[in-house]
Amino acid sequence: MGKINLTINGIAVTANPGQTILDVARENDVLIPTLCHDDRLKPFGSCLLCRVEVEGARGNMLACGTQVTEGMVVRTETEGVNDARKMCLELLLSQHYGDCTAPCSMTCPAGIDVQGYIAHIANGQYQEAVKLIKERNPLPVVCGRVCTRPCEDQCRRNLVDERVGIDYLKRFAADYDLNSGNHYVPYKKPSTGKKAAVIGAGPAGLSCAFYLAKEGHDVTIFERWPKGGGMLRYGIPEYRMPKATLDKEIDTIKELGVEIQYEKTFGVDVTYESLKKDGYDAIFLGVGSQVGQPIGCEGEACPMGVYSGVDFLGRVGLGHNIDLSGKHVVVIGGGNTAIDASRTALRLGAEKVTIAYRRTKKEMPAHEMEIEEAEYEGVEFEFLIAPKKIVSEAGKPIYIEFIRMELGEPDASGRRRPIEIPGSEFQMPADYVIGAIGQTQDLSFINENFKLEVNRNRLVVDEDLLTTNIEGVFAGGDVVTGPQTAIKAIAAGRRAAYSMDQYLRGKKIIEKLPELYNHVKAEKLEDMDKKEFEQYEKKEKMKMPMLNKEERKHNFKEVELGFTEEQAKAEAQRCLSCGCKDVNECKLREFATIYGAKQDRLAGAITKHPIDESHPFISRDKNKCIMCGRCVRICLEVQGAGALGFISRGYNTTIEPSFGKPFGEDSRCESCGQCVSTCPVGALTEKVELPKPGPFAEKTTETICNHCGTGCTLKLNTAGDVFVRATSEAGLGVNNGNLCEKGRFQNSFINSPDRLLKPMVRKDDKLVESTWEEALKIVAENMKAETAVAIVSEKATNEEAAELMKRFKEAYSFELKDAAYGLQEVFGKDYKNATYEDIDNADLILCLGFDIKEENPVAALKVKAASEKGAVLVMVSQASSKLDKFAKMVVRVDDNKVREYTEALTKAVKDEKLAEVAATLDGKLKVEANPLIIIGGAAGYAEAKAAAELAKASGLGAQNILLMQNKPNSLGLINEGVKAFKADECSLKDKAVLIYGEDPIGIENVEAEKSLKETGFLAVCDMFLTETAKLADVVLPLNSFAETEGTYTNSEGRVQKLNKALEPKTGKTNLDVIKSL
Amino acid sequence: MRIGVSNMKKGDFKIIVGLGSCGIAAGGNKVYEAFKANIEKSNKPVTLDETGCMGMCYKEVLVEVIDSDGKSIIYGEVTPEKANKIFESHIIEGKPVIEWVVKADDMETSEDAFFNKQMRIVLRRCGAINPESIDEAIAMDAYKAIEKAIKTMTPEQVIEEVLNSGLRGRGGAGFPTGMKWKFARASQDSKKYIVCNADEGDPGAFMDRSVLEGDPHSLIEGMMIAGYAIGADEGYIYARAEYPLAIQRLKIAIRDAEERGLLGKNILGSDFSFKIKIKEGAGAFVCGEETALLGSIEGKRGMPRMRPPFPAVKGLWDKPTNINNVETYANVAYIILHGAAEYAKYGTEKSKGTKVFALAGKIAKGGLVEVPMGMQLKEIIYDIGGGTSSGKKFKAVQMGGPSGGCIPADLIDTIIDYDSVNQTGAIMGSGGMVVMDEDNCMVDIARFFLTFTQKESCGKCTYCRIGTKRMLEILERITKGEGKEGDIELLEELCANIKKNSLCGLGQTAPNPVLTTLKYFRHEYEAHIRDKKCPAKQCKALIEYKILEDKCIGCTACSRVCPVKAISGEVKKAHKIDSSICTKCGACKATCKFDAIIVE
Repeated sequence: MGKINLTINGIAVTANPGQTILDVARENDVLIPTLCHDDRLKPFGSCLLCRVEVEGARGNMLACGTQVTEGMVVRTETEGVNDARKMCLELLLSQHYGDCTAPCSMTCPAGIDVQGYIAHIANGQYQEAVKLIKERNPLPVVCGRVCTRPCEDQCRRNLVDERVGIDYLKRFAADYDLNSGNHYVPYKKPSTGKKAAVIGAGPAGLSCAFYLAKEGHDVTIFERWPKGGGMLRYGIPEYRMPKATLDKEIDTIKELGVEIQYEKTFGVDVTYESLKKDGYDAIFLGVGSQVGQPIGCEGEACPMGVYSGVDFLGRVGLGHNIDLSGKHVVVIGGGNTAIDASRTALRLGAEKVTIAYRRTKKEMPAHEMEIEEAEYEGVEFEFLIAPKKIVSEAGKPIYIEFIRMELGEPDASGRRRPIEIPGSEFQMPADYVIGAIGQTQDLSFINENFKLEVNRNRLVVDEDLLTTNIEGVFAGGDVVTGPQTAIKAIAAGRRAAYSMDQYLRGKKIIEKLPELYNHVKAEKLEDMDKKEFEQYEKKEKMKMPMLNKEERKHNFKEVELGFTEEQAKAEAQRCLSCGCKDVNECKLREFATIYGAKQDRLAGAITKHPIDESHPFISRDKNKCIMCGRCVRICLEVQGAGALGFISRGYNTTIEPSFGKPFGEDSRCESCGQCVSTCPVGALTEKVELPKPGPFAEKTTETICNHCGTGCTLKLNTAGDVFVRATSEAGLGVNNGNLCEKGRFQNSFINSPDRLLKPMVRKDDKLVESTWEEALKIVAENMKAETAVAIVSEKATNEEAAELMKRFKEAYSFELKDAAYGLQEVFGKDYKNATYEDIDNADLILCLGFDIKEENPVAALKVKAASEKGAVLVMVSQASSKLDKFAKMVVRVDDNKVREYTEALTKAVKDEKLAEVAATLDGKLKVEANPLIIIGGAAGYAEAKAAAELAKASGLGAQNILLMQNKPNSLGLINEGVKAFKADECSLKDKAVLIYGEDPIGIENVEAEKSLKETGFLAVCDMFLTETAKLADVVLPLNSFAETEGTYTNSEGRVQKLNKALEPKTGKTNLDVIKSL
Repeated sequence: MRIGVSNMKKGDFKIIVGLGSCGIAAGGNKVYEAFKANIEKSNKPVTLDETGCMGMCYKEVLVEVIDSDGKSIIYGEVTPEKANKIFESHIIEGKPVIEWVVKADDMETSEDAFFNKQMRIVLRRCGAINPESIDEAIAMDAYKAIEKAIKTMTPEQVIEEVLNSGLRGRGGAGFPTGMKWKFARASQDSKKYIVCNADEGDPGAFMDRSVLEGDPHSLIEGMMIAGYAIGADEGYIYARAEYPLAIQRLKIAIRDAEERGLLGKNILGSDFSFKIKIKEGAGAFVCGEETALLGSIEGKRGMPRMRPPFPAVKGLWDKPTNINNVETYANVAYIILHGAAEYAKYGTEKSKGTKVFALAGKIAKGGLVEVPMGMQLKEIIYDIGGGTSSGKKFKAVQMGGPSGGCIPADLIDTIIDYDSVNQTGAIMGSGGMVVMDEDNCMVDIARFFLTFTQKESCGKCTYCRIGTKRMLEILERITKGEGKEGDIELLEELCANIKKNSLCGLGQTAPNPVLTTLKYFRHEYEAHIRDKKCPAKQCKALIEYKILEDKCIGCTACSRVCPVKAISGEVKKAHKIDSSICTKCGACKATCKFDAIIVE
């Protein structure tokens, strides 16, 4: 057939007849968004996102269903098309109820994937948690102690019982990693040769330096104080943030090659000019808000005993010896600095510490937990008072004159404004006064040659890019925003690094950090419907172990001691996993991002549905369904099950399991998970068999399924060293992305805690753990190559089988069927079996003597599809099959009569009683009709031979027979020369036997069991301590297929590659184990 | 002259009662029983018969009396009592009851205007034959056209004839029928289907039902001719299960035709075979969309499919299929029998023949009318329909049901053909005409139709499923007085996208009622949104009932009729309405004899 020429967006392309616009666009890397199309399904046209302009057509055409024609002119990116897509997406979003990202992450100024790291902690992957945190925040040890944790305020668990202790969890993971002796060090890109200067080693500067260094830049930090940390060191007291710990975390940044020069004040020791002269290509200013604001009352200029909060804490941080024994300290202010100062004062021996605040406790900006701790430690509070005058004597304060206040109308901040009550003045004794009423920025480095733009004493920057008015100079953190939280400064440092990286690479700085579309159930916690949370069980929040009051007195020991591992895991379990499990793959989110769709523009009524968790493997969240119908169609069109269907009309249309039952009780459902694989959003998701499901940024590895001989390609998704789930997609492998229940959902053994990881040897009739060395030595002593026998599992790779064949005189497999020998008998040793393509092209399929749907479910899908295309399907089996309904004829024949039945057919063919054959096989058992005989299941030598003879009698050959194998590498074993074990032919008596991956006792193979009990020496290689392994003299641990490389030969004879998704858990590859035997 | 009269003896009478759904609903069966009793009692040689809809639904029950000379007199609004009187006077005494006559062969009546401008092709046998009698149908030319086609014409010639007649699909979009047949003929397949869309779903449209009930043979013959033309041997009639009488009469007609050898194998001794099956639909509006209809016949959920491929290429069970609606097929036999030229005499350049309209709403003479294309809208509404039933000012006519639009009074000169109607923003549709007077709020009308389409959307495509819902929500808030600035623009944006991008005709036309009312009555929307007023005084949230003190005489009638006791006042003193209680039902206003109650 000739090629078709057309243009897409003005570019000439060629296509094959029958291709759709969508097919051709994809081939040419033109994005046409679609939500309802899957290449395994017929075009449907429900999402309507793929409409494109076709010249001359009436209206815009659906790219997924419109075949290309000669000379077609297609436009996919016109304004009209894009506007329509945006509206289409906005309509879908208006009916969507769910959170893409959990509200904790959404609230975090740095956007840390909180749900993700909590899930890692729940799963015991602490370093993975830290790795994830450090994508956004290089200082988790610090933040885990000092963060104001806005995330927790928005935690949905607040609506169930109490918030999740997010910050404590972060601290746990961070401490664990830092003290693990093998802490996480991020990958650093190759050096760019560019130099960047960072001014200030506070949170903003450290963060900026970290992300710049990761990108391969050469970073130097200039810090005016003798040590790093900025306000983290000089603003936060030791009992909250131990300096030694802080230093350890700063060291992790230095490990990336960041140099810190201390006691270098910007504007004095180093200047803009000097930095430029020294070859710094870019400068980041993260100098913070270091100067305390004056109290603003009379008598403040008292030379001794009146300090600002920052000064006071700074002096303590610098190690100045301040003794407040017996002193009455009055702290003025209501913020975190006031609390820190007051608690520090207590520790320095003050007899009485009073916080004086001009509003009430409710209005205090300090964190609630901090206020509680201060109260617990004995700090006193006086509310609704303001200082008028500090009265001093001999340069030392004696008392403060206060005036009482009352609250008036709310001011710009929304808090009620305090107003003086005339005549209410009173005196409060004070011999040490700390004014913690705010900080400001020291911008003295600005001069004529370095004229940065300033507004309200803050540096002016581009909000997204953090560029200043001077090229190459960037700024972020408190110096830009005024005093804020550490996490905001950290976020700013990262944002600046992103801009600086572009600048250093010589690009124009245009890109801000990419922001993906985020759907939210509600903007704020208080807007949520509490009812939705009634379903959750209440779970007590883990308490942070803390020093008691006595233990805290007059010392600066860290008060919060940190979670234990058990506590951390339990607390992590409290997370509700609000964010969508499909967030990393969701197509709706992807397209909403691309087209700039807004959640609320077309907002309207939405119906909320409970989440259906009744299915063992699948979670069904109708709130996220976009009615694309892919699940309904794949279930019917591909799987033939028809378990899902559309219900109701109009806006109320939903997709439901048959007869309105819960999904898990739908007898039509085959648990294949095809619906999950095709769902473009998070409406259908796998239930991940882990303590917490993530979602994680998963690594995917294509490999071959381990369950039957079809040889399906699947993707193993892993997060760190944990297997998460198996997935697939259209176009992948001989299975075209289809998988069955086993392939998709029965792989959790990979993560099993019962896996054998170390060898075991029998001592005093008991199996005990041993070293590889010892175990292998015992095997070597007891196995003599001349007599030893290997029993090989059909899950062994070709390479493993070959290696075993080399080492053992005889090799058998207990469960192996010898049908292949039957075919060899008739067609010769090198016969070529039919392939799956022959199923597609067959006019007659005789499924002889087994239920392919049960044994090889994905191959059965091809049979079903062929029958729907018009092939005559004849099912001959003992039990009824789900394929029967697609068959033209169904014959019930007992398993042990299959050979007779086949021979009778052969006889009829030979005797030319063709009417008889025709009655069964529609007269299509002849070469011209592409007939295909499929055998498998329990078929052995005799059945296969009979089938081969039937084919031969009809003038057909091996290419008309497909022998489906039961296990992933049955055919591979046969090709390597492994034989089916037959007790009457091969004796194991008194022989040394190595069983490689089989468990005949566990599956009650009586013959095998009997033979095994007679062995002289038994070594078993397995993943688990199976019933067979329990009999062994030596047990060697094996890796799962997820940790194995090699090849499998599928039923077609196709050799396919296994790729390892995880590192071998046993420390040795399976092949190495065999080689060391 | 009616058929079957020739063998009547002098002095005999034939009484025919109109027993279409309209007649039955008006009490036709009781009238029929009354005549039956009179006949039995009098022992007079009177034949009693039934027929389908005669068109004058507003005058049901209709009874036709034919004497042995073949002269016909039709009585309107007949009750069993009137039947007794008619029998007594007309049959026994030979004196027709003139005052009840609505149509007569040799007498002018006030209702003649209803018929004068009509031209009956589709309805040629409706109301003239007993629909359950194939003989009567045959006596009026049924099955002559198929005979002519089979015996004297090739399929290509049949298609040519239909093409030349200019017949366009009467289901809504007006696609040339001959062209459709040509495509189906061109599709190569050993199996093809003819499908009749009898899933009449537009609120206010009932022409297909009337044809099915009044003359099922015209449909059967039309489908047969189509089958012959495209090479199909099987036909499906997809009819609403809510049309039991139509289905019953269709079944009888099919059975009778089969018995006569007019349907089945080797029809009239030719090679042509054709069978017809009836598929009853469950009444989903979307199943009137041709691809959804095909899915429904196949036993699937009624959901439209993507086009292309068109049904002519891949239709029922993926076989080439021709789909037309009842009225379209009902035209075909006439065209074949009388020739394309005869048919094309009627109508305008691009819209040939006649069109049946169902007149409903606030129209004086509601019923079924068939007029030649090209007639002006005002002729139908005023000359045939007699203007508004309320006597109030005519405001607009909604044409084409929920897919159509409102044509305002200013455009009453519009000529009725496909293209002129389309230009107004409405569509010909199946031919429903809902007449509205000044009391109709146009925003509310749009809301009403959108409520219908939203409920009937199949839920498949995004624009229709969610888009129409969002439009409806906006309209609802406007009629509730909660409309906001920008709502009209948002509606327009939604309309444009839904119209352009929806998968099927249902969605693509769903915005039409909104678009046309926005086009012609934008000020009403603005009044609702900006002034919080409903100019037609219909939207309850925006109106208030008040009693004019100077007009109220304190008769207490209103307070007695108020269902929620919102009206208080002493006898002979002006009353008051408590608007916090008032449900705005309007009962008081209807009761007040002094025009003392007003709506603001």
